[in-house]
Amino acid sequence: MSKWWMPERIVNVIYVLYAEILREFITLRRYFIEALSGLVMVYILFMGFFFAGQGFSEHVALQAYHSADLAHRAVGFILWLFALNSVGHFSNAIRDESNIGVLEQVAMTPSGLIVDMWGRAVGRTIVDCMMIGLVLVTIIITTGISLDLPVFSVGCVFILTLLGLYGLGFFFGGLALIYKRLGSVTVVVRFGFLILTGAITPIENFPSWLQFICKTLPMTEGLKILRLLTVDGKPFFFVLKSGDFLILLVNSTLYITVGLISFMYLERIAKHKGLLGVY
Amino acid sequence: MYSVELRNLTKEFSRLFRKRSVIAVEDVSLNIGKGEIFGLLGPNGAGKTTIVKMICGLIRPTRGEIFINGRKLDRNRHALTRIGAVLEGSRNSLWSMTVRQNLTYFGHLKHVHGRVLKERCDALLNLFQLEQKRDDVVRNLSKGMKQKLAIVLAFIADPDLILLDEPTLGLDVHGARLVKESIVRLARLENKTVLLTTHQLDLVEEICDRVAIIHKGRRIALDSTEKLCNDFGREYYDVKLQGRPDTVVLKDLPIFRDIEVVHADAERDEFLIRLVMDREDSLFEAIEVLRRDGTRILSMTKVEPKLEDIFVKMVDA
Repeated sequence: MSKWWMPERIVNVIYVLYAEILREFITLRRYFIEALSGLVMVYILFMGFFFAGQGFSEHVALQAYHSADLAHRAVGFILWLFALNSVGHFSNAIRDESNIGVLEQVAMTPSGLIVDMWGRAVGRTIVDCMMIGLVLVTIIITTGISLDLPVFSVGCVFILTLLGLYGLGFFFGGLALIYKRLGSVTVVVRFGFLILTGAITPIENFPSWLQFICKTLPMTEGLKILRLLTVDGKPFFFVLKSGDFLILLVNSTLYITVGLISFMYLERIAKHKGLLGVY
Repeated sequence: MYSVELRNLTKEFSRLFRKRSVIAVEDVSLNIGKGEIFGLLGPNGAGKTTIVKMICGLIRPTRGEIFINGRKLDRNRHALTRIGAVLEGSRNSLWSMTVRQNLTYFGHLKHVHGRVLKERCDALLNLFQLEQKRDDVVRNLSKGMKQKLAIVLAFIADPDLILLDEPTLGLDVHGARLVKESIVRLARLENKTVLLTTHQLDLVEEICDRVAIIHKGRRIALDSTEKLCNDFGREYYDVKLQGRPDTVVLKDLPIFRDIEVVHADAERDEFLIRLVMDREDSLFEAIEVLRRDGTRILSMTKVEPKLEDIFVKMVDA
């Protein structure tokens, strides 16, 4: 039997990733109009936040609340869009596919659900980069903000942040194997992220206990670093030296580890209770 | 070495806040040889699907062991690489993708790539007469076509063992026949083992080499289809008569297990009686009784025992 480091096994995993990436693109192409209208809606939502923020900021009492400038908010909003998909992608896919019997077919494949879910994460991220990137470009053009983009450092932080978010996604995916309809829970979590991670409001204004909770969320530290790199023009060395990167590394590693372990455990329970194909 | 070996397989489902668990499968043991078409028969809720899903690794058994080609199926994913399955009541394919895209997607997930995948796709599409539909979106296919695609997907990785849960359910006569023929052809030509679960008895009788009857989670019979029919089946004759027979006379005879009178043709005053017998030679006694009664015999047909009779008899018992 082949071991994990053997080439054949690696080739098989790559093909699973390829299949899932291909599937994401086929789905995107088939439902292109829907995806495009979603992007327009997201853009309108951002502009709403922007102008609402501007409006509120004219009031002195609320100026502190809306102190983050537009570029900060743009970065926060864009990262939140990634969080929207990464946190709920697995649970939504599991809910839909258990209903149509595809989940059982995927669970029966030699690689299993975990590898397949990784494939989906990669596929989803690539599609998201294209679509959300388009929103970012539109925001930059229409609002005139400018962002630095040091590819390596931003890439590292972005991937680490996404790993943490997918950790939460794996946890909800595992729960969906058993409880199936988790839509409302993930919606609460995902929209909670908009407020609690500092995407549109600075968390420094929150009570200290809430700040502590906010800082443990998988997106908060990543967002803070991304703002330092892209808006404030800080070098990667600054982020490394300040210890922020280390906090992000530990945070994301914890989330992805707990997420994967809980997914495997919940998959085991689902198989024990015969719930994989139950909707 | 058996293709599938089940040893004392038991599955209990525990329920929240209830002390008693539900026993879906109880102490089922059976072996399926390579290249065999094996039928798992049982009424709804008998435990057939649970057995199939345990073999697929989708449900963990509470007790017992499963061996696929001699490998124990216990966290051993490698044993699953040689299994293809079509599970009842589900789509088994992605309706938003075309037939070809589905084959490519599931092929890759099952570790079939490149030229091998292409050749396999072509051969299966040809065998199941789907080549004209390869670029059609699955959503637009008929129910029969979708079912055929599900079976093709189960065969895509060239598995040794195919598990088919109600494969012809809901198909029209032509679709069902094509599916049946394709299953038999693949099993015979490529020496595939097929495990079929159904409550369509004619399907099992037509294509299965051996049958296990499952009832309330337990295996109540296991033998070749032919032997089950011979050993447990009731032999009977359909006798068409002119005029209504005096069944009181016939019923008085101890040779019949059962007599059923059917009004065959009211205009011609023809009746059909079904004589279920314990001994073949008792037919002559029946003829003699009818002759003495003055009833004219128009025709007599010996009816071979049906699996349906055995099934009903066993389940009722």
